This record gives sequence, structure tokens and C-alpha cells, in this order.
Amino acid sequence: MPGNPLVQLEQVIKTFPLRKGWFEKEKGNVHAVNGVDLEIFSGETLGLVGESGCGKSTLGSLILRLLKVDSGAIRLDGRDLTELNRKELFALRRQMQVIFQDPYASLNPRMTIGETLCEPLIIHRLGSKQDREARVDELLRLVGLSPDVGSRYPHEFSGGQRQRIGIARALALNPKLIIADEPVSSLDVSIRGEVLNLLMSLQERFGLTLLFISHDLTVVQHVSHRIAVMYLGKIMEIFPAREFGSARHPYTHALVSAIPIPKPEHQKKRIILQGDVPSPVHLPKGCVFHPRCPYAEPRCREEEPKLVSINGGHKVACHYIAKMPTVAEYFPGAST
Amino acid sequence: MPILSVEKLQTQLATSEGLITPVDEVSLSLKRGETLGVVGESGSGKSMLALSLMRLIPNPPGRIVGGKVLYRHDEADDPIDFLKLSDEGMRKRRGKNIAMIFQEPMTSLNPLYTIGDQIGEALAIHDGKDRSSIRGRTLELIDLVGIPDPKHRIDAYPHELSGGMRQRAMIAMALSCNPDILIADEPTTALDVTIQAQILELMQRLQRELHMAMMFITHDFGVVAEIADRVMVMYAGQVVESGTTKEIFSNPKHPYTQALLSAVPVLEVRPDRMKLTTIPGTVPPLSKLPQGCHFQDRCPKVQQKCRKEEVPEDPCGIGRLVRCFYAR
Ligand SMILES: Nc1ncnc2c1ncn2[C@@H]1O[C@H](COP(=O)(O)OP(=O)(O)OP(=O)(O)O)[C@@H](O)[C@H]1O
Ligand SMILES: Nc1ncnc2c1ncn2[C@@H]1O[C@H](COP(=O)(O)OP(=O)(O)OP(=O)(O)O)[C@@H](O)[C@H]1O
Ligand code: SF4
Ligand SMILES: [Mg+2]
Ligand SMILES: [Mg+2]
Repeated sequence: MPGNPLVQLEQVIKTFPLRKGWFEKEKGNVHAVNGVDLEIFSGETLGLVGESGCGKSTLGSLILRLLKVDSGAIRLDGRDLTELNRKELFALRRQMQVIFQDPYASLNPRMTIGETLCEPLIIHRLGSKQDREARVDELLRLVGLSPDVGSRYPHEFSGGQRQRIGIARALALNPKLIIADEPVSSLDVSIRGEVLNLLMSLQERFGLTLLFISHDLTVVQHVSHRIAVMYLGKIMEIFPAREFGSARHPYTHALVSAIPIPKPEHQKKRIILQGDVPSPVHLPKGCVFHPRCPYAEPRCREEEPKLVSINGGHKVACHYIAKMPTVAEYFPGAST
Repeated sequence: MPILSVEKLQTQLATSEGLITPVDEVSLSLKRGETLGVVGESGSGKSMLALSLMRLIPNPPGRIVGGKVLYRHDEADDPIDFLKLSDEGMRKRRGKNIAMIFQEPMTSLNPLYTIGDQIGEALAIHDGKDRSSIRGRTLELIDLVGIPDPKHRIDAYPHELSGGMRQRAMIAMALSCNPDILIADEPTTALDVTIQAQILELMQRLQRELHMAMMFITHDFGVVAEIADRVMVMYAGQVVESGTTKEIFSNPKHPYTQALLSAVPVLEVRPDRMKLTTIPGTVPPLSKLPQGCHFQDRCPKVQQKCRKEEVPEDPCGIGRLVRCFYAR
């Protein structure tokens, strides 16, 4: 991968006290992020994929410093974010922006699009009024909207257009890092592509670093340079997207084989995982995947596998990785 | 011999933007043992179609204004038009002849009752059995849909179950009276893929075992490819194309189906960061449909005629429904 790591995570842990509802009798902690080591290189898109509740958004919020780590370190450009004071944090916010899943909820309905895009510039006291207006026009053009839409309100836009506005807002301060948390999950297929294409072209143009969070491996695959697969607060496997065929963690297999392919003639080998994802309150001992893993051995119930490199940038956390088939073997007939 | 045949069904809704027609002359047929996949983007009318078949359209604002929903239990029977039944008459059909799994499990499961109570209630309404036999049958159903430890789970409240388990409970409720026809409205959309795979497998197995006719609604072409024998593609209230699953995927004829299929990203062994194919524009709101073809403003093949005339079901004589003047 080109460049240096822009972001570095070292043994990051985050737990939440269990929310007490009416019915809950349980006490304890939700282990949302569970000892994550991760690097995001300058200029790359790192896709972070995993099922609901595995800790993707929490990881994103920790990097953005919207949440504080329990332990571990997160460095941006070599500086430990966990040790910054408020003023330093404010300055840092300029360098990191976020795009959320729901373009409806994340835009203020009472502000015009122009006001929304101007707001970060005002907060950071950037430019004169004219400069800011020019910047707003420029941002709208960048995301393929006409500058006259600046005077309109969010409800006048379609979902895809609102997500473009969300992207424009994220770009306003020229950030280095953008965290896109399920940016197309609420959009219909026919407009998803445009938003993804836009993100990719803006990234190339401005050399942005992107953390692309999604539960949809197919989408992640199309936009990412590298893919990290997360399960119960842990990174199970991380690999260059182009080497998808050689991914080999049993959980990656399960994900891949569960994805329905829009080709009826395509017969994939299916591993249907039994049961549900275990509760993040009572994490399984040993390998967190062992209760659902078809290959689990006694050792997996006791000893936690470390994320180790098996081939250059390809890292896997599994004791028995040597005997695992590759993802390509689940695509009979695929030309690898 | 179809067990259900729907002819030119039309449902309208009074909205603040005026009268809209989310189900616009929809015709379809369903055989026992067959799965019809209904695909379409958000707002295309899929749920409204399902609710119309069940006669559960909230009135006001909605009303079924035309068409027939013909049900025939056996070949020898005369067809019954669900739309002509009294409310009471239709209530007796629901659950038994035609049952539905709704799009939002949490809104259709009552949080204050155990899942056992809710499955049992569906049973009691129809069969009026005594309590112990209802409990026995409820246990059977919970077991049938693969909820582990039925004796314990029968007394669980919905919030105590995972999303996948709740969906299984919903399936159990829908199956409680052995329906001939099962309508499943996006039963897996809210679930994770690994859980979706479990539920799809379960539904396919149950359909085979119980020999039901199934209408499976989804916006996911992958799911359709996996589960459907025939497919119906909806766009802005109309069926724009229908055919066997093979026809739809390997030989789509409608420009919308063609565009959509090429816009769907596919999981690949050797992915490349590549521009995705897109469809320009957005779905028109049902309150502002253009005259003529609903897809005209996004269609690469649009001609004058498309902007003037309503498109019939098969103007090119393809031999199946392809609502396009210039289909190839
Ligand atoms: N503020 C909070 N308080 C308590 N628990 C939380 C909080 N935020 C997240 N969690 C819990 O932490 C775990 C990880 O949540 P997170 O939102 O990071 O998952 P995710 O991978 O983003 O899931 P999704 O795909 O559903 O968005 C979950 O069990 C969640 O319930
Ligand atoms: N109660 C209602 N009042 C007004 N309009 C409604 C109502 N319910 C549905 N609609 C409109 O009817 C149209 C069809 O809705 P429907 O729910 O059938 O779509 P759908 O295809 O099921 O979409 P989704 O994939 O989002 O579930 C939409 O334009 C919707 O806005
Ligand atoms: S470590 Fe064991 S349980 Fe975990 S994935 Fe590998 S084989 Fe399965
Ligand atoms: Mg999330
Ligand atoms: Mg719906």
C-alpha cells in the first residue's frame, strides 16, 4: 500500500455499561470494540465490513474522538488522539469528517443547503463572507449539484441528492480523513452507484483517505483498496481487496457464502452458520467465532488467536488458518 | 392451474399530493409449490400490492378500486373473488387461505404478549381448539421454524429474542393455520446476511414441505435469483416486466430491468475498484407521474410515443409481460 499510515490503532478497547431497560435484569458491559489493531494508509479506502452490532460505528466514533477509548492508542499522523486537550481536538476536527447513513436525519431541516455547507466554515472561522459563498458554490459543483440549490431546504431533495449534500459538507474543510458510515445503505440500488462513483472520484482527486463502513461486502468490495472483516469487536481478517479470492478466515467464508448472488445459474457452496451472533456482553472465551465456526477445535475454545500476517498485507486471526480453503473455492467456475 | 389469479388489480390512496395509484392494473398468477419474486425499488408499490391481496389496505386513505383476486382451492372449485367477500368473509380466509409476513416484525409483534400467546391467538381464532391442544400446536410451530428450545421460548417476549428469532416467530404465526398462499414482504431485509441465509433456507424448506404458493417481496435481486421461480419487476406502481427467473436474469427485455441488473454490484473473486453502472435520474413520485411510460425520463430508448401513450402489457409481442414499446 502506498504512503504511511494516516491512522494507527493499537489494542483499542471500548466497552459500554449495559443500558438498563424495563425488562433487563442483567448487569455488565457491552464489549463493543475488543482489542483492535489497525492501520489506515494515506490515500486509501479501507472497507470495514461486519454484521450489525459488531462494533463498526463505535470504531469510527473512536477515531473521530466522538467517543473515548477505554484503553489503547489511536494516532493520527503519529499524534495520539487520546491525549489531546480540547483546543487541540478542535483543530483536529478539521482533518476528520464523517458521512452518515441517513441523509435525512443528518441534515438540519430548518437550514438551507447553503447554510448547512457554510456552517463548518463559520465554526472554524475560515475566509470572508464572499470566500465562504464561493466555497459553497464550489462544493455543490464538486458533488454534481447546481449552485442555485444552495437556497433550498433538505426536504426538497431526493435521498441520493441529500447524500451528495452530506458529502459536500464532509469536504467543506478539506479534511484528510473521511469516515463514511453506511453511506449508501438507505439508498435504492439505482442511485447507489452514483453516490459511490462520486465518492471514489473525489477521493482520487483530493487524495482523501477513506474509512468505508458497511455491512454489505459486495459494496465494500467495489470501493475499497483493502478490506477488514470485523466480528464481535475484533478484526478477524484484513486483506487487499484485489486478493479477495485468497481470503480464508472461516467467518469471511460464511459471509461470502451467505450473500445471495444475482445470477440464478450461479451455484455457490453454502455454509449456513448456525445460531445467532453471541451477545457482546458475554464474549465467548478463546476465539470469539468458535461457537459458530464449523472448524472449531478444543484449542479455539481456550486460546484467542492473534491477528497475524500470512502473506504481506494479508492478516488473519485463526489458529487453523493453514487448513482453511480460500474464498475462491466457493466460486466454482470462477476464473481466478 | 393457479391457486391465485389476480386480474388488473388497482389500488388508490388519497394523499396530500393528490390521488395516487400505487397498484396500477397488476395481474399475476400463482401456483402451489411455486415462488413468485416481486422486486422493485422503495415506493414502487410492493407492500401496497401485498396488502391489497390480503384486503388490508387502510381505508381511508386507501381503496381497492378495480380488478379481481381469484382464489381457487381445488381445480374443481369455482373461483372465489376475495374482493367480493364481506369483511367477515375475508377475515375467515385470512391466515387460512392466504397469510402474510409483514415488513416490520417489531410493529406486527405485540411487545406485551409472549410469542406463544401470539401464535396461539392466531390458532384459536380459526380453530377454536382448547388451550392444551393450542399449546401443543404452538410448540410444534415454534419447533418447525427452528427456534431452539421451544418449551422455554414459547414464554419469551419479543424483545427477548434476536432479530432472526423474531422473524422465525413471525413465520410461525403466518403458518399457524396452514395457509395455501404465503405472502412474505421483505422478510429478511432487516436481518444480517448470515441470518438471512438461515431464514431463506427455512422458508424454502417449509414451502416445499407444506406445498404452499409463495409471493416473496424484496428489493434485492440476489435474493430473488436464489428463491424465485418466476419474477415480477415493479416500477412506480406498475409491473414493467415478468417472466421466469431465468428469462429475467439472462434475457431481460425492459430497459429498466436491464439498467437495474447492470447497476447491481456483484460479489467477485477478483474485484476491481471500478465505476459502477448507474441509472440517471430518480423514480418519479407517484403523484407526479408523466403521461405515457413511467420510466420515460430515465430511459435510454425513449421516443415520442413513450411520452404520449400508455404502454400496454406486451406491445412488442414478446410473449410475456414487457411494458415497453421498444423492448428488445
Ligand atoms: N452508546 C452506547 N451505549 C451502549 N451500548 C452501545 C452504545 N453504542 C453502541 N453500543 C453497543 O455496542 C455494540 C457495537 O455497536 P456499533 O453501533 O458499533 O455496531 P455496528 O457494527 O455499527 O452495527 P450496525 O451495523 O448495526 O450499525 C452493540 O452491541 C451496541 O448495542
Ligand atoms: N398510508 C399512506 N399514505 C400515503 N401514501 C402512502 C401510504 N402508504 C404508502 N404510500 C405510498 O404508496 C407508494 C407505494 O408504497 P409501498 O409501501 O407499497 O412501496 P414498497 O414498494 O413496498 O416500498 P419499500 O421497498 O420501501 O417497502 C409509495 O409512494 C408510498 O409513499
Ligand atoms: S480459530 Fe478456531 S474457531 Fe476461530 S475461526 Fe479459526 S477454526 Fe474457527
Ligand atoms: Mg453502525
Ligand atoms: Mg414495502
